[in-house]
Amino acid sequence: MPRGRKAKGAAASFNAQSRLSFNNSARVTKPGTRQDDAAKKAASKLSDPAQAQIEDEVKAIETPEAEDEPEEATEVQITPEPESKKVDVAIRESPLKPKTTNPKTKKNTVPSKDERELAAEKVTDAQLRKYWRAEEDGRLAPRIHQESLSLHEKILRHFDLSSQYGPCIGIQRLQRWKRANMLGLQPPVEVLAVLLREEDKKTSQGCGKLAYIDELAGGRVVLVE
Amino acid sequence: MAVEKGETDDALLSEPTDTQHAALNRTPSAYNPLPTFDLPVGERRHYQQQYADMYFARLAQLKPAAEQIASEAWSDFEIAGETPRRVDRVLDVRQGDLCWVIGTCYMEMPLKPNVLDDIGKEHWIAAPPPRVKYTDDENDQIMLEDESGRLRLTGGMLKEHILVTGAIIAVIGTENKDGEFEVLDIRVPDLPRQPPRWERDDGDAAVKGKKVSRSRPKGGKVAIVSALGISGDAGNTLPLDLLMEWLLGESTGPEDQQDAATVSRLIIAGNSLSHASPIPTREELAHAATKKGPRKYGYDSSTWNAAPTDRLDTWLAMLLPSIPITLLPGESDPTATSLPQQPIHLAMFPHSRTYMELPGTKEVSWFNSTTNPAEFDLDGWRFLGTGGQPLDDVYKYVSGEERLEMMEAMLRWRLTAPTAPDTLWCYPFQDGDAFVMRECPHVYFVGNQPKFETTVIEGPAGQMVRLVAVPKFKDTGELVLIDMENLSAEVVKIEIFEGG
Repeated sequence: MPRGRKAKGAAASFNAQSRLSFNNSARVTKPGTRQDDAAKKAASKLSDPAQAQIEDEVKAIETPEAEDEPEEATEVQITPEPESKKVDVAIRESPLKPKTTNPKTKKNTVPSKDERELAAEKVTDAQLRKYWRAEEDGRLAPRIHQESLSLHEKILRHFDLSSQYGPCIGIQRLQRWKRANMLGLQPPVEVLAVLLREEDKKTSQGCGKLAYIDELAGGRVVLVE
Repeated sequence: MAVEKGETDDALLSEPTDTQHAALNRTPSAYNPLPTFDLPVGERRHYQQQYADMYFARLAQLKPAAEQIASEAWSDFEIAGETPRRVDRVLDVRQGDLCWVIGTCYMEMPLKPNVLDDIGKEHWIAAPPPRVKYTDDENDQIMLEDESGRLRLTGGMLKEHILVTGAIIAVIGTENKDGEFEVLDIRVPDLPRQPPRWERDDGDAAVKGKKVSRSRPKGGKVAIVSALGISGDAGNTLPLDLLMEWLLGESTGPEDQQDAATVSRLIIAGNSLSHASPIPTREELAHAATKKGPRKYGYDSSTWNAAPTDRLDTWLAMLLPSIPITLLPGESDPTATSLPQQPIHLAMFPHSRTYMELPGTKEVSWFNSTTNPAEFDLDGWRFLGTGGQPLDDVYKYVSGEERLEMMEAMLRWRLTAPTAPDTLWCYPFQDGDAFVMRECPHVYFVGNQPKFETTVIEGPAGQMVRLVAVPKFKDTGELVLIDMENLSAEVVKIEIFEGG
């Protein structure tokens, strides 16, 4: 069914019952801005033990979702098993420092990266330029219409169109790299280095999470974060 | 059971004694299921992805195995002085060049169900009857596909192999002047590695630090039954009751009761309820459309008939205290229709619920309502079973009747459901196709088949697999017993004597 039709139809029905949503974004305890919530609670005027208890409970509810997201990307076998372990980790954490423990618990339960992912973290900018120059030298003619693009975007678009790593539509670029890595197709570590740089605001050159042609085709971000 | 005059029947005509009757104990069964076909729950299950991801993942997972088999077979292949070379992409084949390539098989069949036909049918009065086979020898085309494109295959060799959409094959040949690839030979990934018996249980024990015991208790037999077909009509309950009595040892004599006591587990392979599928058929929809009265949007709860699930539940609850049961859903069971079907929820079993695990916990319970297809370790042997939908779908693609051959082909393709996204509804896997078999089972059973068939097939590395086609209990009254020590299969038939 074409994507737009459902949304229009639901909005236009005149005795419209409010749409039931079974996703978590409508819940009261929203996992959206964890650090901000924790900061607000720290500034609130509750007494310390009561506040610690509230934060503990909030963490226990939120961290299963926070930790599910990196898990989902790196698992090939879809097993809900790690969930029970993660909840235990969250509850046993000390309630003293809510702001700093949240990113820590995230890292504790992300599965250990393999060597290619670790190698990608060590790639330097010079290596990226060298990789790209090698790619361009492999062609007979220079790429046209790409003068206005940043280096990161050029590398990522080339990765998107490499069909040996799978279809680029309907999946985020980072997920696609990880999936190709998991299947043993050995995608270049430089691309992962670019993707990791894009995650960070300081080193990002403004590339999107989805493939460019997916964005053109009206792609929505798949919620597998 | 008449007693002849003069014959002593000690069991019936003796005075009451104080000696205790030896109670027969059922052989215990060691059961360890695998979560291969569990889908993520709730939020993490998404349907926005395209099936192209699934085909890509399937090809990427099976390409190494197919490559190994093909290169071993064709490295010294020579024809007219030419040796073949491996070609990476399907579109890289050159005319007149002998080469081999790996890709996904795609069968273009005009008689296959087509979504455009469905839309057209809604404007007509009656739908044409569903086809038994999709094959049509003049108009079918077989193609080889991968990320780069499709290549049409021809040649007499194609008729000798079973091919369906979704199978990963390696073909050798050359492109002819029509642009089609003439196939000289075909190879498939063949059976994967088979774990030795008790491998997983020993591995788990070693991980937990327990002592790995070398001596395991002698296994009994496992009973597999399929298509109980409980429909709420009173007509079909007697064979079910007889089956229950036989399993519990309540009927027959002491020797048969001894036999029944060796049955350590019951596996129900699909279609326990005869029409409980949530999606209404075309006829039901047409009937609902013509019904007058206030229109009820969505589900009409006044049409719910609780009798079938009640009957199934009480039947299971009578068996459960004595024997552990594994329940696989089937096509007509009240769970999702797309593969892998998730376990029938414990809400359907108010009485048997006490034997099931709570949702969300990971323990294995006495009554294991599991997925379809299902993979589990039973007494150390690896079992892989389905409720019949994948095999029935493959049957429609192939112009033969040999279901055991199709089961063997599915194992050699390493695919539990090869036709899955094409003509069989399934979940859009994105990260990896769950239907790719990673390890070879020892027993492969398929439920809901017209008759009982069994054989043993052998793999290139010495793997031996027992194939069992389980017949429909509702039609034949047969159940299959598999001996856990030597994996031989036998049939127990429950029949009602009709007639004067």
